[in-house]
Amino acid sequence: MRTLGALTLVFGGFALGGCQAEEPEQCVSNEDFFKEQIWAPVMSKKCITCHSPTGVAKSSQFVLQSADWTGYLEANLATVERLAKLEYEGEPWLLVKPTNTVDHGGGVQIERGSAEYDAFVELVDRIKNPVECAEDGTEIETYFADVSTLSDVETLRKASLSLVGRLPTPEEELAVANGGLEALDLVLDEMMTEDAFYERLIELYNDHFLTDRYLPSVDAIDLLDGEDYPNSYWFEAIEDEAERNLARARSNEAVAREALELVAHVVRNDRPFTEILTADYTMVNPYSAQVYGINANFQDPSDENEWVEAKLSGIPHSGLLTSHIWLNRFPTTATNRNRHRARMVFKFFLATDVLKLAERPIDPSSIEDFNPTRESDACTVCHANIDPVAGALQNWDDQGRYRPPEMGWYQEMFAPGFGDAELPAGEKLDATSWLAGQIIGDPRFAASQVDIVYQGLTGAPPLREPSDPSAPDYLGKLVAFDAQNAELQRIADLFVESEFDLKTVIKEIVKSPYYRAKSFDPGWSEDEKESVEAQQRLDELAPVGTARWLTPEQLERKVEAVTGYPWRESVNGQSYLLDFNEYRIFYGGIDSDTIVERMTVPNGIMTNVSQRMANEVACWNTARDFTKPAAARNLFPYIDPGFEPEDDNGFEIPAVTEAIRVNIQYLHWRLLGEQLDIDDPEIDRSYALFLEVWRDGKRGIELGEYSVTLPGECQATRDFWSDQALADAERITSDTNYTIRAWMAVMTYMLSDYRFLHE
Amino acid sequence: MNRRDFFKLAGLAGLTLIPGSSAATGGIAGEPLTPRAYEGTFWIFVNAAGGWDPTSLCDPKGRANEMDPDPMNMYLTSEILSAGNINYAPLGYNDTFFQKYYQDLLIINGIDMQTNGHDSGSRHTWSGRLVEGFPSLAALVAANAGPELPMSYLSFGGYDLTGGLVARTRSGNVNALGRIAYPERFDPSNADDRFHSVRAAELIQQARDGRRTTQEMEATLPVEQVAMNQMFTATDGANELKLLQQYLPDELAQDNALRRQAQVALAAYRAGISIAVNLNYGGFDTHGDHDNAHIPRLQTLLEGVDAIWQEAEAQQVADNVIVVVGSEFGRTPGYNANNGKDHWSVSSMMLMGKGISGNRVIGGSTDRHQPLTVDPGSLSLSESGIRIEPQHIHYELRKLAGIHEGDFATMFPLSPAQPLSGLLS
Repeated sequence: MRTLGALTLVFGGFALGGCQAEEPEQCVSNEDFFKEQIWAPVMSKKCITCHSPTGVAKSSQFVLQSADWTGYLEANLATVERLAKLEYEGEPWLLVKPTNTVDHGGGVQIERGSAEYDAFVELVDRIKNPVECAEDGTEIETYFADVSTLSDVETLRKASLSLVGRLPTPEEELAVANGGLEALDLVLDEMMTEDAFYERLIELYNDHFLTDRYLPSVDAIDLLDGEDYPNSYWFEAIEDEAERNLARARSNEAVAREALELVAHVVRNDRPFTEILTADYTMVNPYSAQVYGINANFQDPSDENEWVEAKLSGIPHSGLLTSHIWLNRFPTTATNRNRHRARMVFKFFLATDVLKLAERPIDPSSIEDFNPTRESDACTVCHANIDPVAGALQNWDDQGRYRPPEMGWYQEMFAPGFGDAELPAGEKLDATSWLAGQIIGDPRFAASQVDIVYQGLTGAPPLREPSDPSAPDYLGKLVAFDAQNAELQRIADLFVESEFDLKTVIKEIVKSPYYRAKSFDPGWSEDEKESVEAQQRLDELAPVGTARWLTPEQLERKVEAVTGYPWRESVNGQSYLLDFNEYRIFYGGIDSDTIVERMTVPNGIMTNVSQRMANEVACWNTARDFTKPAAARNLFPYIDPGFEPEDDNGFEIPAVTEAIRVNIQYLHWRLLGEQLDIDDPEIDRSYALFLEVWRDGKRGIELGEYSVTLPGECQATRDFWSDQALADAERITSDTNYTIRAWMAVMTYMLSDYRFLHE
Repeated sequence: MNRRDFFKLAGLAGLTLIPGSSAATGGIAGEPLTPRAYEGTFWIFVNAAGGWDPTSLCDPKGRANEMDPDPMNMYLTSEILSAGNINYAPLGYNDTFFQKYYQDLLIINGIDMQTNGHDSGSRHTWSGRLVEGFPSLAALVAANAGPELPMSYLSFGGYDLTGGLVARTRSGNVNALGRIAYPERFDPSNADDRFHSVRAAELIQQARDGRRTTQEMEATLPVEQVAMNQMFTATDGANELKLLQQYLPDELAQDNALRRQAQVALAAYRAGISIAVNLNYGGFDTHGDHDNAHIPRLQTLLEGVDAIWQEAEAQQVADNVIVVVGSEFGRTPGYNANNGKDHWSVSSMMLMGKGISGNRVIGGSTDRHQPLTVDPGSLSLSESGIRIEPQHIHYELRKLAGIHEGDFATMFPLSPAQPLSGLLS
């Protein structure tokens, strides 16, 4: 695990301004000193030009690896340590060479007496007397000392919207307000028993597995082998067309969702998350059970939400790795030989992008081997990793069927296995289970799942180690990477300690500064703001906090959470944000097929969609909310449509304006998550909007410019959920004093605000 | 682009400017961008996703005879065709395409991609650098010329990293665009059918503007500053989306995906709201049954490029368009055991349009598709020359776009030791 020791030195001294002398000296480990004082400013820019595997000094004793090699820093420090122990006339080789004291092909690279030289001298001393820094758990606090976080209750609100798509209840808010983060854990534990949480979890994992690609039509069932599952289209025998169509849709969805439902099932039952790879079963509901021809016991044979464990005949289950749908989503061919699947195994379950290994420059003229994937260095860098895993998946053919190769696996490939371990001969028929055991025993498994959940909750993938030392922000990015990596590693360690309880990961991420960071106050002077150190600190903080443009799914849930109704014209109407023929793709969503990456930066189309949402949701829900008793309202519990802020003579009515301001304060919290004092300038701004629109409306009605009748679309005449007409006494069709339209303006203003559209 | 806004956006995106550089001295107080119709060159980048086979296209090899034990291609060397100075494989749509466009075409062969990984190859092809983090050229061009435009950078796929400099736009169901273009109206076609009175809408906007100023002043975390800047920039340009409605065809083409993509892209360009587009067509990763799977794909690709020019001509903008066609790498010399071809780190690019001199082939490769070197001065093949890398091509394209110097060049440097001046014209 990395230390944050040097990180505090880099900015800590700077942030302390004139008080450095009074502060205790920060511990800087050898690794961090090398990285920040030697590698980044000197070696990565000067030495490696020649001292690289392909440079003119490639035959010297001093060859550095470039930043695109995994573990390059450790390797280069080891090289430097070795060299530092060699001396020329009593002086370290590491000093006499770059100063050209002895003949150096590159001439003078470092002047004696320069800051760079002093750093090299210190490094040599440190190598003789290594510095190791103790980790006392305060490093992260120090690193974030200039960052303020959301309050506990604000954190609860953000997590609640994210995890279960609703606002916290008053009881939950009270518990966290009184009990702090410990209470937050308990509230989150309760939330993570709700069905909405598992829908969110499925959504989160589908962003990676993309198996929702098969939700349309019978796309999932079409993937199944007709001989293996002769009853897969069982629903076609149903005579009633509506019933048949329903059974068809539910059957296909059940097959398409089997892999994601396994993820949900493991978490729902508090099983070790490793079971997603080791489960000796698959998940079926009453519909997919019929597809597979399985006799399973269901409490309600028509309940598509009732999922049970089941074993498919002839299949040695091993969780996701043997799921029909997962294997088909990541297909193979006769020549690909499961390599693509192996790559996905590394990506999803080992936090390793194998293709990055191939990103070092390769020279095509150097590839002349008969079997390059096995014998050429340019190819084996990847294939030595993925071929053994591909071989361990050998029993699954291109259609995801269990078909052990009759003629054995390809001899010209690296032998089936995992890392240095070869697949035992006796395990061949159940090789995937053996592979799963290897994977879950690898520390990267825990890291991979932390990465997935982190990206799901923050909207941003974990940082990658910067690979371009020549970039001006290299050091800042390196520090940022190290800090985040340390935090994610801490969470991964807790994940392992909890026996792979994924809920632990979720709670820890929610409580981490990366999720909760709210503002940054370094206390810089004007001069300091312009300094290199200030820019570096900003580089370091680039991944801190979330400012996530909500996905279509998240915005859909948030609209309903705050208003009580989805963004739909009627209960049976299409969802504008979720329908692929409406705004889902425009708004940055994915179809899990050809569009598999979410757009996180809004464009003009996306902001216009949000504007339309704000207008329509304000229109549909303002009068609608007023049809209910005040205590049951979601938006306007403190006022009524009859509340006008001024009397006929233009004098303010204090009691009314107070109520209006209280309601605006309530809306700022409910819609925007802002806890504001009643005299906050933002309350004033919202109130001014209400007041001016109302005044203009009153004037317009008096002059006959505006109608007293609400626009038809904004009238409340039917109950949304039942689609039944409201009683006459409940209906709101007119707005004689223009207050409803004034509130609509306030609603539009807030619903289109940055804080509503981001979390 | 407003320089101060550029600095703000770039700096807050985590992209550090070198202190003391011209960009870094501009301060960070931004002024709202004013969207205006774009009338400059329209940049179209066509990606053949999966890794195409140049030897079946513009760098033909063939086989000497039918007894060749390890043929590069199944056609004979003697069957290789030419149009002007350009040789091409006697396959698919090649003859029609090259005969029609050879005078406009610049072919660059023997490009050393230095990778055979899909992601890294795609990045190298379209950003000019193998390392991560560099935006695509399309993104840089769009960010330079008008990041505030609502469809400044339209992407249908391929490598489209923006580095936070400009928002990408995806196209969905164009029938929904009317409602999106007119969010203030109940009925998009009725200007008087509004959610709010004109005065109320003005007041809402005033409140938004005031709050926006406060929010920008109070945002202190870089991630939040970036997000606000992105949203507000997008919002500023969103009104121009209405213009797109005027140029979209009533019905989009169904016969060719690239034509369909081009129709939307060119309509956006004509509306003055788009600067660069990624068009994408996949299926080239043919590890098995190469010829039967790959050649039809190449045919569709060339038909698509042909369609782009037809559409551009029809919309009378062909004189102001650049088309760059490429892929992440090439395919291995010869066929594997399954008649497929695997990944090979040598590729080609095809360029045509404004600022490109056609009927030329620069670079080349051996009979076994090894890259040959060129003299940086004459650009002719020379054993003492240099290998062409994507950075050479991008450096010249950047010059064409006017972004080889200045802020973007500082942030995302390309510095080939020996540039290939005159590569494009």
